[in-house]
Amino acid sequence: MAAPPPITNTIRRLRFDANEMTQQELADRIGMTRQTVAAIEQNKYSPSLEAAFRIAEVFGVPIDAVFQWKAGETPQQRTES
Amino acid sequence: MSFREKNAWIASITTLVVWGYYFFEVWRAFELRSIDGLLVRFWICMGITVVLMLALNLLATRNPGRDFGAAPDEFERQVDENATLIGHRLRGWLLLGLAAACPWVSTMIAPAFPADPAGATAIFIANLILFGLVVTELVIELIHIVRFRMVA
Repeated sequence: MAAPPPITNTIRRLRFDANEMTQQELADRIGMTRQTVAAIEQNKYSPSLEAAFRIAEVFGVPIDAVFQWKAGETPQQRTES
Repeated sequence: MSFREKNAWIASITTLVVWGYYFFEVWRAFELRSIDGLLVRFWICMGITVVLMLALNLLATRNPGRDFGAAPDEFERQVDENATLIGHRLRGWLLLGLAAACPWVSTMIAPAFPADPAGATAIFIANLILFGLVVTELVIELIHIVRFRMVA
């Protein structure tokens, strides 16, 4: 199995702050399926840049408030963690 | 469960049941040394597969107009590309294996059907190829299901 991408996200918290928005509601607003949103939220799938911007747009925040690059970690460190 | 996952479940179960029955009948034909009716069974199974897949997919969707016409999103495309790539490789190796096994298969089939050894051998080899293709499609659908379940 491939190591997870070195990216974290705050989608769960942002959904909570946005009146407990469900994954399905977010999925509908960005034109994707609930499973895709779940995969992004669980960090099992890295979305395209366009999808990332759409998610940020839904919450009305800049993209770096949604996705954070785990700077400085090598792929090996990621696999070990 | 997304429409595409339901789609994968329906395809897998339909394939297992209908084609499982068909290949059981092929095996029985070999054991009984009679290939009569195999072609008819093949067409019946093909028809049942098409009807079942269409009917079950229609039943499984809440919004046929939207679900049937919708393009897969990027995650679904990635899952599909991975599954298809593995499927292509598996299909290639299975067909290569079947090609290598053809001489052995013909030495087994030909003596069992003395009335028409060449015809029977051709029919069984065609069914072996069909078996390889069905197994590949089943594996592709199972990969879809596993990938979708992992993020459910």
